[in-house]
Amino acid sequence: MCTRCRNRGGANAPELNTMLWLYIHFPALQLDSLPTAPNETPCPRAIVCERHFTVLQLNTEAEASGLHLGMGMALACSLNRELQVLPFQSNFGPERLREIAHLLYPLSADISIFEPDGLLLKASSMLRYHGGLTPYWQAITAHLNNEGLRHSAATGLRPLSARVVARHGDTCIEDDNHWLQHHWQILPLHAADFASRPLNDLQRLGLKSLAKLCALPRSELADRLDNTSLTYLQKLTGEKPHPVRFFTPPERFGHYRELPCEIETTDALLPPLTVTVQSLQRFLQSRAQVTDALQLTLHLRAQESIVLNIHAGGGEDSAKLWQGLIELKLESLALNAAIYAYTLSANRSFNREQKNQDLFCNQNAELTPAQLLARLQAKLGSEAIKQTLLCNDFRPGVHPGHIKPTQKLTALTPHSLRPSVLLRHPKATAEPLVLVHGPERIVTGWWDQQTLSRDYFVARNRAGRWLWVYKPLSPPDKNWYIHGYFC
Amino acid sequence: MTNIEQLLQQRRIYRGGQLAPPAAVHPSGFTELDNALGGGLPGSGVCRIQSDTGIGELRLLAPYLRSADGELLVLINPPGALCPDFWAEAGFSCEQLYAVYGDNKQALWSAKQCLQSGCCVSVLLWQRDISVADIKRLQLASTEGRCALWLLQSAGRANQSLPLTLSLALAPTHNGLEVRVTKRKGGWPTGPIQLDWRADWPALVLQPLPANVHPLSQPGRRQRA
Repeated sequence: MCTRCRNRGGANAPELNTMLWLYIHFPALQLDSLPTAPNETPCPRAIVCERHFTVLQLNTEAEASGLHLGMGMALACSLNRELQVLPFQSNFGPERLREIAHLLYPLSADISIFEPDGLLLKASSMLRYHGGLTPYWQAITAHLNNEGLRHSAATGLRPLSARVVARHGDTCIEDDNHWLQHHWQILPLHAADFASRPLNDLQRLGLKSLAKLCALPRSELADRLDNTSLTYLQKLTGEKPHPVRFFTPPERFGHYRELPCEIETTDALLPPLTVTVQSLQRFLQSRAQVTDALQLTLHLRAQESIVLNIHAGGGEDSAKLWQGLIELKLESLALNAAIYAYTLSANRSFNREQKNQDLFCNQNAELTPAQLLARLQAKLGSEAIKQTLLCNDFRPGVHPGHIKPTQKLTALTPHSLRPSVLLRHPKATAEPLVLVHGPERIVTGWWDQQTLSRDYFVARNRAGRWLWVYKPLSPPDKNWYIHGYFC
Repeated sequence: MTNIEQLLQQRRIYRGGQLAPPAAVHPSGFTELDNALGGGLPGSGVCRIQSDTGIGELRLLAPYLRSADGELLVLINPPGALCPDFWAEAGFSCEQLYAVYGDNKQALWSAKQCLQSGCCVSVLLWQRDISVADIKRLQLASTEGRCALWLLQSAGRANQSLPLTLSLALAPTHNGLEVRVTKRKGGWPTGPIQLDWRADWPALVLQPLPANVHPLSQPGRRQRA
């Protein structure tokens, strides 16, 4: 809450007991967040409201060709015939703001999300840490430029006054007290967030700027304005506090990205995915965590989305490795509809464990066993990789359920004289055999529907091959079956 | 005029005396075999074993595989599922044993990945047909990861000339195994070498029949030793 905060500002901070807020406004949040390939030639794009068909966001190329916000879609398309039009997604903005807040979280502790397109940062508590307002702002703007987000920002003594200046389109980073108190009042009335009807009423009174409005006695205004607008005005001038809820970083990684155009091959998906995987790496590394499973959801046009689960045995945070695994997984995927968006999420992550390694041995090891197994599993599917595990069961070939790779098992005593390779389906044989050892009678499994009653022998055939053969006891069978080879 | 450098680059001059030294060897666990192979079985490269399934081809490799250091032993397309009891008894820990199943192309890809990773003891690959180009590719991967690939093929395949590091042909005997070295990089084919397994695998050798017992010679009848 803004009322309980103390000022811990630096040398040139505003007076004590006043707070400095920084509001960042993103005029084209959805458009700037579209994933782009590194060497793609930019083309004019616009985000259009699907209800009113007016242009809501424009990129720089579209602005350069003379389009402006608020114009109709038909007019915009006729002015620039190469214009790519994308529908406005109302739920994307808040989601993306949360990601940006997460990005700025190392720089600024208190961040509040102003849906649908703004962030409020409490600057006063961070000035001492950064050594002044200018370095603080430079650090923030560098991060935002790195993400390719266009923005305008302003400081203010109250959250809403900073918001009014920033939304007006100017970037004004000042900490001069006089300026902070008066600059926002110069702005015209429509810069403030009044609803259209009260705004109209006020303009008809002949009020031009916010200063004129603020100069009027509140009791006079109360007759003319509705309750919401009056409360807004009181918050704007600081007569009432504006409660602020601060952002807490999420515990799980999850990014949803729409593609600039629909794609039908998985190759085209890789460049945008690289960017997302790198943000995953930043997410994990800033928490000293690793994850062992990623979920990539491909949203298809007019089809069920495809969900791909990508596993890496021991847990990884490296973008390069995850990228490689995703590429392998996508290679074997056949698409029968166009992809318009994807979601990459890590559903569980755990703390990184430092492994003690020999300094001189295994210098040539490029991968760890877990990484190698993850790579094989990504390409061949997890069913193709089988670990050999001892099991407390007399039945040959019984696997002790599902066990995580590289998991240690308690020691069990192996049965003696068993073949190295067991056939999945024992095959009947009629060739002459020399029975060297046996019989070893195995009658077990009456409790779980997999009854086994056989007499096993170690035999050698004429070609000198050592076989593990059996004769079934119940139902009685005259045939001999080969069950394994002593390779 | 072609000069000698060009000819050397095109590999058209045989330089038998200046061959690269053979890869480091690990003892095979059988003295006779070590003597014939100049110290043991190679620690890297592509080696082939030609034998019938089940005459002891894996038991031949077991001491060598156990002695090498590394974390994983990967068996690609073995003729069946691996039986954990045998491997545990032979001294392998079950956490390091993995079997991979796939078609020919996937098997070659997996073999290459395992070889390059540098964390495998050895890679065993069962594959009927393999081209010269594939072998060369696997040789490079094997040198990179310092890990040997053992190619297991059935005996009697057409003996095409493959750029192998070592090729062994195995035949069963009453007491163990007969090994012929059909090809060795930096050495000559030798053999046959008789391996006596009466001490190593006492249960899997034929005991000599008592003098008063004569096996029946009727074909198609099962006999008791």
